[in-house]
Amino acid sequence: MSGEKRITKFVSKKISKVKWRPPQNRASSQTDVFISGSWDDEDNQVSVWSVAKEEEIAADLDEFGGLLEGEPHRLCHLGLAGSVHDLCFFNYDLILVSSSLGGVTLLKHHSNSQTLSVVLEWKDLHRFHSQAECACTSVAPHGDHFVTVGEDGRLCLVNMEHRTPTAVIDKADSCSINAACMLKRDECATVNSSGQLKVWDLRQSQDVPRASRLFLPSNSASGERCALNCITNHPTQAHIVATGGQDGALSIWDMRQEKFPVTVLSAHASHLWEVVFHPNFPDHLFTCSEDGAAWHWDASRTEATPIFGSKDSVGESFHGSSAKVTESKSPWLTCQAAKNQLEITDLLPGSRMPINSIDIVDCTLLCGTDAEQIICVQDLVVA
Amino acid sequence: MADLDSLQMIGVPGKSCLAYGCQMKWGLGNQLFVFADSSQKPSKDKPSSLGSPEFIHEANWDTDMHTPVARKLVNEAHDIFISLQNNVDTEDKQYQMLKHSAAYRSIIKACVMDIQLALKQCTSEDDRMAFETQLQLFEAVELIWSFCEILYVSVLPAGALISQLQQWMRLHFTESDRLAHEALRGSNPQNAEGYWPAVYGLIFQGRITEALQVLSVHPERDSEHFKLIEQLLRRMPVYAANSGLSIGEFENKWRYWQEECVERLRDGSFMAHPCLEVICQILCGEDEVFAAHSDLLGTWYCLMVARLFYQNPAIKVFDLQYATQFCVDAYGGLSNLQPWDSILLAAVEFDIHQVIRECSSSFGNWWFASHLTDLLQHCGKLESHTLHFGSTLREFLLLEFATSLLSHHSLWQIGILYLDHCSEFGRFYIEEFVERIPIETERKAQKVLKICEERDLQPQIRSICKSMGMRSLHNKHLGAALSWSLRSKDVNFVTFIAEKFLNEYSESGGFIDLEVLDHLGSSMLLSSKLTFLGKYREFHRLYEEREFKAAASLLLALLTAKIAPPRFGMTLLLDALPLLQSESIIFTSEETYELMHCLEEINISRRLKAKKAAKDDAMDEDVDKEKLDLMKLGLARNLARAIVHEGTNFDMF
Amino acid sequence: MFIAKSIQAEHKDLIHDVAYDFHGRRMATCSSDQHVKIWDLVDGEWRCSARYKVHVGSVWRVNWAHPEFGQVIATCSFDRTTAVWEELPGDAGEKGQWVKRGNLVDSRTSVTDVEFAPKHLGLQLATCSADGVVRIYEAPDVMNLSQWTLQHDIPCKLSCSCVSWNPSRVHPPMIAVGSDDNNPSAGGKVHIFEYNDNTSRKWLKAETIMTVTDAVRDVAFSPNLGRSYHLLAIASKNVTIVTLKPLATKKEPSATACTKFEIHQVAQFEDHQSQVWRLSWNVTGSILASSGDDGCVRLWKANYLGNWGCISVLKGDGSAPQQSLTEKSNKSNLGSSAGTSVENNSGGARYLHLGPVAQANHVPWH
Repeated sequence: MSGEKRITKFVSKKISKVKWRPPQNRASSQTDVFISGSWDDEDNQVSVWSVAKEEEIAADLDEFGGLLEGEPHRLCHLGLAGSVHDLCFFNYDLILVSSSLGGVTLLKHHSNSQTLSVVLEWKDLHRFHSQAECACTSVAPHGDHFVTVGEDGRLCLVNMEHRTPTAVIDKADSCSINAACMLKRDECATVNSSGQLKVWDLRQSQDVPRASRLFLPSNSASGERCALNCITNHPTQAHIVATGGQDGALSIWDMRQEKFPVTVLSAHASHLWEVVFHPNFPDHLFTCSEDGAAWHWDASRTEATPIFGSKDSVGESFHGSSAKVTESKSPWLTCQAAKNQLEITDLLPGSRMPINSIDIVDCTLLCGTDAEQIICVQDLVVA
Repeated sequence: MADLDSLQMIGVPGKSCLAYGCQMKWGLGNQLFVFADSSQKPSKDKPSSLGSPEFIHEANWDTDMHTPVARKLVNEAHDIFISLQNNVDTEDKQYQMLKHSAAYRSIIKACVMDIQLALKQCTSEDDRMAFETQLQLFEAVELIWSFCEILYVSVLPAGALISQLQQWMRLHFTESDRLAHEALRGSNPQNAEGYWPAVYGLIFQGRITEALQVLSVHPERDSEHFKLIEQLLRRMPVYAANSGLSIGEFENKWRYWQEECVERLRDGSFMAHPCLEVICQILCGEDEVFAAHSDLLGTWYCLMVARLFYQNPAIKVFDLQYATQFCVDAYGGLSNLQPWDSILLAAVEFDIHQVIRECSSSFGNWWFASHLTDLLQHCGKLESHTLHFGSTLREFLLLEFATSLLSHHSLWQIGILYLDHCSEFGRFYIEEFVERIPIETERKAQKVLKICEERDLQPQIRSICKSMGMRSLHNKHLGAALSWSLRSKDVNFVTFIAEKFLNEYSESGGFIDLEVLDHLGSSMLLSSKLTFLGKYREFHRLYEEREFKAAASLLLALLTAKIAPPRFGMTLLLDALPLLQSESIIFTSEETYELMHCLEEINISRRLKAKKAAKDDAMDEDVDKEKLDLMKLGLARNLARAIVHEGTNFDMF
Repeated sequence: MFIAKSIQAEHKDLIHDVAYDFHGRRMATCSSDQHVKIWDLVDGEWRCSARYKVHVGSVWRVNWAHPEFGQVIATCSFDRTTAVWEELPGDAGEKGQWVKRGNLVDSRTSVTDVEFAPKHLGLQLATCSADGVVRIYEAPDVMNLSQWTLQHDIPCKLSCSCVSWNPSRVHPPMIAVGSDDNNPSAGGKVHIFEYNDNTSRKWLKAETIMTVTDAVRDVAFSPNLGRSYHLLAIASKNVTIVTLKPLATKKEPSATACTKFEIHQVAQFEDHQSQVWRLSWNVTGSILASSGDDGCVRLWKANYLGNWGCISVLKGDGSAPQQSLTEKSNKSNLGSSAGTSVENNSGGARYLHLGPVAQANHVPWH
């Protein structure tokens, strides 16, 4: 199983986030460009990278001299104030960056000139009442809007056309909100430092907005409060959500039922910082942790695996014609029972420094670490 | 003691520092703030007449490893360092050491290549200068490292030593290649200025095949002299460890061959051709010819390797030191040695302490000295040479290196990993530094706390959590403050935050940050104030959910257990009022008695208090009296109802 | 070593003291202009976030409390008072405010030094004054800074100029006090007091450093990172470093007995050739900085054998200071080897003439 190739690139900045650029059209899953953000430095930056292909290296020895096949090389970069907390592609060339200073910046990547430029800035979306700076921990795009959450426990809905947020839920949480993701058009899920998962209806306009649903950590009775660090949803079955916690556990939640996670799989020795489903083969998911590990979870061999998720139904599943999808049981919802059939591979054996972020496209996994590396794990077996 | 040559004078800019003298204060790590100060202390208190604005200057040092290129080295090397620490006791120690040394060298090499690339792309003159400086430094590091590896890490049999040294020389000194290349490019190579120097240089490095190639372009290549010298060169015996030839046999073969060279030189075979004669002199290992070409050889150690190759090819590592004198003298003696030359000299002389000492002072960082020392320590080279402070020296250097990392904004994680391997003082350093790492975001706080947890630094964990809690409080983020206080497990602090929540309740009449309060779990028991807060909130929740019976018994428990702060006594009783007035009977007669008892107690303590204080808040008194009466009435009526109800119920049985 | 950047402090008069908070991200400066300024490090730049009048005389010293206690500073002044200040959070749209939480007026003369106790002793404050009294104050409820009680006053007979807490967590509370009395016949000018927790609950004089009889302007205990003895630096006509090694007592601690110490002078430096004014240890206690009437700042360090020596000297040269921003980009790229010269060499002899090129950036060894 270990036919993977690892390429480590030292980049002289601690990496807080890596993200592949989405393919230009839906037909292809090919992309060789990704972005990275750095944190905790005097001058932090967002960089755009391209993975060198064999032909390119051969064609232009001057530019690519000394590069290995599959090694990332930097196309351009831009310095930003504050640490980068979250990054995402709004579309093919627009990038949203959230910062430890509480703002969000919209960047444009100009492929022709290979430059990055600032298009718009929303400063101070998040700020403590004392006026002290407060990190904007996560940004999730949503149609022509995006949602931000921060350590101040606030949730903002921002229209790309406007300089001020369209809606602000000031007391969305009394602790920090660590991450947010869109479930469907007007529904957003957030996770906080006390281990709760909340679902927000973004259409509501009550005076005192409240979470439409509240999910509790399954171990809340023990009194040990375990923060949730990250959240992501299944690419085809939007009711399935995965979160990663401070204790390194991976939790799978079913948004259609129950207050508690369906499955809690104790996994890493420390903070689970990011979890991602494979966009095309969602029976595979990947996690990374403070303990320096990046894991590949393969649930495709668990029993009761239906074949689901044809590519053209992306993002359409939960609402609308969902009858067919809800019928099929995802292996993630049953994997508690079938735990021994879950295949887990450590993709970076021997690594010790924290891995803050991962992203997967095709057969290549990106990892961004505190050892100032971007590691590309290539030729993963995922089908 | 203080070595005056290495003493640094640093100029501090600004007029005031010159006029008034300097004053200083430490920052974190290698950071010193300098400013002007009148030394005229408490005796005077009149404003001085200083026109220019005051400056505070920040001085830094040991920042060489903070450059982007060097950071790659730091990050990559720490992995090797840790792996080396974990491989100390393996069986194939010798092989492991060599492997790790080679790994270090390969990243130094990568670093050199990075700088070369940066140099190619850089545009400004200042940058170019700085890159060149760095390049020279790292090339020197690589040179010295590989030299030390040959001497100390590889355990080489006689014969193999010299060929290793030659290889090292070929890698680092490529002047002859350049000369040869240049000469061969021209139309008349043999007339090129560098033609013969290239040939000599190649022969000095023992690269016979290449030398023959250069010679083969000479128009007279078919002449008798050339044939002869070619023959001598081709017949030179070459030592190879796996050739099956013992070192004694090799030495014999060598002697026969060299005797033939001497014969040829004596019989004047090359008289007509001085250049070929020089070659033959080299082959014979004649001192004069080496001395005469010292410029071509460049450094004393190149001269040493070349000379030994032709004079004593089977030399053993400990005998190298006896071959240095001649070579150093050829370059003007000890006083003419440059720092890096003398490092290598000390290395040959097995004065490891001197090597480390000079490495620390000659390079702009602690990286090289500390890693080399660590490697040598693991190879057992420090003890075996009776440096009784061996382990202290290693730790001393590692502490310095770690400090320089911890002085950097973002390299602290690696700094701490190094401190882990300083057995004597490392933990104290971590304790001191870890609390001081500036924490801007919760995510960073989590990472710092993780470091503490892994090392079981409980006081530091408490302190960091308390500081975070204080900051949340300062930011009016009460929910987060409570979370941090719970994590700090500091009872006073938890009580203090719980108090804040109760105040908030008293002021606004409602609870805030419900999701924290509702899910306190067992952490509620940390402080009685917090227990009260949690339970009182639970009462409100039960009441809201119309679980009146449960709410009532919880309320009664709160009143009788006396965990409620005194000022909340009345509030709690008043909370019972709607329950007393509800249609169904909630409090039993017994419970009602207990409530009455509580009311009486509260009443007594209030009167006592009122006596003490002047009666200046009569208004409050009136309001309270009204409430009291209401309460008494409610209790009396409920008691009546309860007794009747209980009586009838009893009858039914 | 090099000057990385210069910050314009803009006080109207000379700065007497600069204090950094525990994390080195906030700075307080005090001056003869009777004001204190608070600076915050924002994105690599120091910005003044508050300036306010704290006293009616020159402000001699300023000191930060541990962040566990909130954002708290103490100042002492020629106006005979010591004050404790706390930053309160601002309301929406407003900046935080510094409010006076304690006004300690027990001294009858100029208060010459103030220092918060190490965190493990709670929120305590030591002051000393020209009338020769050291006062220990405490806020018994660390959550309520407006209550300060004078716990102890320790008479020293001689005018006091400086006080220093011993930061060790594993030893009984200890302070060193220095006197600027000029008369050598008045005896030793540095006294060590130790708090006896067992019975008397009093500060008792443990030792007097008899060898230092000239006026002392500053004393500083070194951070104790795993040492069994204490290291004290004394600023007098010279820089003196002494070790205090607690002598093991076999008896149970009695009511009056303090720890006795074996005192050794490990270094004495006359390099300033004049009065030495201030001393400061780095975080790990490995380097001591001193400043004196010769206008220089000197750095002292022990090598691995425990021998102390000078490693660096800083002196005003009157050149124009470089403002921080302009320099920054340059430095961050290359780690600055500014001021060092590289000799140009040709080809193969590349290593022959190279000197220690990056040394200006490096504080190596002695």
